[in-house]
Amino acid sequence: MTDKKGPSISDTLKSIAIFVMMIAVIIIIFSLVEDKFLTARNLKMLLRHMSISALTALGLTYVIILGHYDMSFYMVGCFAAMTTSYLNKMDIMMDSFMIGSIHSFVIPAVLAGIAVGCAWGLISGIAVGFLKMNDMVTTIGVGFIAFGTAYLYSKGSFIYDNFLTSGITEINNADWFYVPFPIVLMLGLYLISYLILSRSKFGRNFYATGSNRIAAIFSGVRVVPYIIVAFVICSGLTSLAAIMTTSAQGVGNVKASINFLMPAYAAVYIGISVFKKATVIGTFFGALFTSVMLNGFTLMAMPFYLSDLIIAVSLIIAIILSKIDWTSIQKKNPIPGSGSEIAYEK
Amino acid sequence: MEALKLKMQGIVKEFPGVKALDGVDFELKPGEVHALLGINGAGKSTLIKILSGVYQKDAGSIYLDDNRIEIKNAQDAIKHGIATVYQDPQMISTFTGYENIYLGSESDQKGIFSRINRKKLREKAEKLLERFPVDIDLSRPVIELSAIEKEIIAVLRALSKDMSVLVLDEPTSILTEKETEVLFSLIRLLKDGGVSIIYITHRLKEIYQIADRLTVLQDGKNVATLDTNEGDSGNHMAIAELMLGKKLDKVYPERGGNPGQEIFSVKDLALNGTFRDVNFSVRRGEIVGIFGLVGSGAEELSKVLFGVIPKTSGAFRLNEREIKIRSSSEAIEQGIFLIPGDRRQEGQISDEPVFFNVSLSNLKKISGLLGLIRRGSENLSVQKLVDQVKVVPQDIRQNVSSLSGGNQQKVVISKGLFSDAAVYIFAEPTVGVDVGSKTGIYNLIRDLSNEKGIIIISSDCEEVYGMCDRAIVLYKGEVAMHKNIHQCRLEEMLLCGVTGGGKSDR
Repeated sequence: MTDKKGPSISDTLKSIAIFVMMIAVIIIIFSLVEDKFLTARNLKMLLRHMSISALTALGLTYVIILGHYDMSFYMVGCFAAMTTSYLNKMDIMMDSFMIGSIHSFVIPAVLAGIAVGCAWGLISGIAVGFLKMNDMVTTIGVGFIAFGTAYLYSKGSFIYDNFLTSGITEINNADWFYVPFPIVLMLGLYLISYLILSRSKFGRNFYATGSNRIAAIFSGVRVVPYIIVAFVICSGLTSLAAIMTTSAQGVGNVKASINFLMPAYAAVYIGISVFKKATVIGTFFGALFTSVMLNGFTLMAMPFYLSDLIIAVSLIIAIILSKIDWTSIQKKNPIPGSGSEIAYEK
Repeated sequence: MEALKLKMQGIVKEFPGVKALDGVDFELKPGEVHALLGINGAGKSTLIKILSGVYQKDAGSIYLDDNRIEIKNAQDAIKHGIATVYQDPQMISTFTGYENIYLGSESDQKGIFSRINRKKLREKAEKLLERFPVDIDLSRPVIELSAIEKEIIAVLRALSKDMSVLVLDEPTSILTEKETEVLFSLIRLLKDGGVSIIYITHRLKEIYQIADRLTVLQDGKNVATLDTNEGDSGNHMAIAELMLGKKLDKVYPERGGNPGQEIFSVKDLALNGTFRDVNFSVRRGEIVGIFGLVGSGAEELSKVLFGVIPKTSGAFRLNEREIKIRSSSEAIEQGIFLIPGDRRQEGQISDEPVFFNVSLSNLKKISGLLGLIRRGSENLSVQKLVDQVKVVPQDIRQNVSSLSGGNQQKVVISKGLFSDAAVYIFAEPTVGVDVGSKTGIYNLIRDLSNEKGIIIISSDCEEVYGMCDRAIVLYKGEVAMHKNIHQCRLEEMLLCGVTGGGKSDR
């Protein structure tokens, strides 16, 4: 009967063990093929790169838990990155003082970028949650509007101004106790999200809304605010990731986060394929998995389109695996009282 | 002896824990309208689902024109000329009337790319329609059509497939009186054309207008087959007794003593087009029962009381204070909880464990700083409730989907108890619950009534009669009866629910 039980600590540990083994196997293969793989320098790079895709995937996890899809976040990220780049450029005209090694105006510029990103998420959230519009089509529309609007800042050209002087690159380069800041940020936000989604009453309501919205309403859950919040979080975290990419590249680029879409879905669905539902831990390992793959292939000088292709293939495999319920394969008998076979006389 | 069109003999169908049909015999003469009667759970739907290939019988045989036939799936039924029109006909709402009529049989040619000749289809459909004295624009999408027009299109769809036995499953439950007349004239025409019709309904009155014979099912057995001219409308009471049988045994717990003070009351409650002028109050220590069949507005009433459907007018009072119920979350905050009728859709989150379901109604109670859930206190309080309600198995980490129907219902009740409400509304509390668990649930509800206000809303007349202290009967959205249970008989109550009170239709 154990296979019919809900999630328990041991189930979670089992799933984590599966992931650790999968990733260990890949790491061993890569380190045999490429000696540069297992160096401290490369692993730091790997995690730094992972922090970007992991943050985006974390935001998407909230939306997927609700049973919705967001196709706008990667374009919203572009808008957020351009907003921050534009404000960063304005810094030259401001009387700003230094906080450590960064100009004081950089902080509001970054926060403003995240805030406008959240605003796009709010639009999608209201459209999907309150107005009950189709999530896919609506978010594709909202995403393209955001992307189109992002061009207005510089008519599509790069913004180089002030990048090397304002200290915005510190977001990417700074270390906290020898750990790069993006990695600290990723771990911190994952911890917070874990507490919210797996340990708090808010998380319960998220999962309830995603599993059976009507039953959630009949249990007194206000489902619409949760849907709106999920879209806001997804856009907000993607905006943060896009701004971090921008600071790493040292240039404001309209296409800062244009290829965030597929790795985020890959991370979430690889997580689902092992954990059987969208979870923070699952997404974390999913992101780690894709990042290890990408990093290894990049070291082996594989062209970028091939590594994209491999991640896309693993996304499809993950979706197939997540559809298979291993426990139900042996037993096809309907469970009394729960299958559609029961007589509901009306 | 006259040849029979259809004969079903010794039909048995078992579901896990329930024997839905226990050797039912049913006969249908050529060109007759044969009504099938029975209270909820008597086996009417199961019988016609076997006939239409939705379910497979476990034992028994079916003869069509004296030839034994096997119906393994819906295609078999159509092949043998047996067509079924369900309560709420399923159609593709954006397709036009004639497209729906010929859905799946648009063309005689095989192959996906064979052309559909729309003009020919429409002409064919209009020719079908010509036989009936009704005028429907078949070129309009069905989404724009009224209930009766959809019903007729469903019948036309059945007719388009060379059919000789037509099953109508409660066709009038969503129709108005006038529309019902239209349907009846259509049925008479079909009958004259030699079609044999099985007509399922709750409404006794209709049977005397349209049916030649009637068969009463009770508890999975056929108890009587009568000619309708024998049993004229004066015989209503006799038929009600047949439907109920003599099985009011000790399933129901003893009633309480004197009711205490008023907890909850409803004044002039109305929902446009569904029900109106509903007034009642619930006192501590008593159970108010509301009996209403499909289409009576009873189901909607339960949802209005819980704020899921907004009311049109009326007022609620809880503990002598006027309250507003605009949403389910507001209802729960005020102290009203609905244990909904459609458990799998509305009551439970099947893929989640028991504790998740139970605590969902009041997460505040078990969460502390920053909304973090105190798992220890959650486990303790949920386990306590689950033990009290006697959910089996007791493991609260079990997924709800792995429990039996009765235990699933107990989980939903536990969820209600967890919300610490003052008023509990039970809608269809024992649908899909096996007989063994029913008693447990009834006892639970009775115990609860000592401290809380209890309302039972059900389409099961016996259940309402057996459980409640005060009974309200809804018929087509009107309160047809409101009596103390000691002052009314079960047969009277059922009659009221199927005819609307008796006086008006004599």
